[in-house]
Amino acid sequence: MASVTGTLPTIFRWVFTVLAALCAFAAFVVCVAILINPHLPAGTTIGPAEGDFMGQPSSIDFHPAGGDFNLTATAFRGTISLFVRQAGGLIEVIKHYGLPVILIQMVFLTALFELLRRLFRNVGRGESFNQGTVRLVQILGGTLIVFSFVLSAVEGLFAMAVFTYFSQHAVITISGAPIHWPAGAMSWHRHGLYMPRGDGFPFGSPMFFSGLLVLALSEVFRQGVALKKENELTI
Amino acid sequence: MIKLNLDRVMQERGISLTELAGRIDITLANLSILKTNKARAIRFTTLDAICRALQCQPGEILEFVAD
Repeated sequence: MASVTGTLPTIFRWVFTVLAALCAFAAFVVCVAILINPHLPAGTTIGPAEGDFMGQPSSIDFHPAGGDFNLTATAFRGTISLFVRQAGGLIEVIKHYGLPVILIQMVFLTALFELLRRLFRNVGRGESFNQGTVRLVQILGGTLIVFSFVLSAVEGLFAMAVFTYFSQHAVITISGAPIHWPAGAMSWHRHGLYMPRGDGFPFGSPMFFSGLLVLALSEVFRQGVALKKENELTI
Repeated sequence: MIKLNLDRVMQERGISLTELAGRIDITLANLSILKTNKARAIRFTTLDAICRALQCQPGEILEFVAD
């Protein structure tokens, strides 16, 4: 009988093996960073650096001021500028809320790539329609759905922490008129609940719908297994 | 359920499983599945080949048994 499997599953298996290893390593690095909890050395200065934002000149300047740091960013030739006082605290917020988010993402990606590696290993062996593959596809779908909820929640928490910090320490100036940051990431707005990106709702995320699609496909695989069994016992 | 009386017919004709498998061009494993009544279905082509080899009617091989 001619081989029913091509080289593509083998290539994918190796690609997912490498990606799973890289993500596991990244998760380890983030763990170490969380444990070490590094601090910016006093007197650290970044910039002023000139850049390009949406095709227009922009700049960023991070410099020490009064025992802390100030951050100034400008865009559209200085028409819009953002000033953050005590920016060292912003880095602490990003560290305490951002690093766990990255860690969760890395753990999720490691699990995802490991499941895909196992799936393509089965496909490479020509075992696409067996109980083990169906189980893997079901776990893959379930993982995507669970992580869409988890990631939305932690990203929402991170966004809330950063926005809260900005509301207390940042001033945006547009054409010379200062505007204070809206208070909090989630606050009751006149027209309802005001929520920026990272709102804690996973139902709009592609990951959630991918999970549903994969779960639907797992049912197709389950029926495929039943048909295969039937076919095997037809002499 | 439908029961296959292949072993009885084979015994009557004095033919072994290996010999029958060779005559009807079917693997020994598949013929064993038929003989032990583990098969879910049987193709007309297989039934035709068995009947030809054993010189019998399908009714002699197939039997309905109430569950």
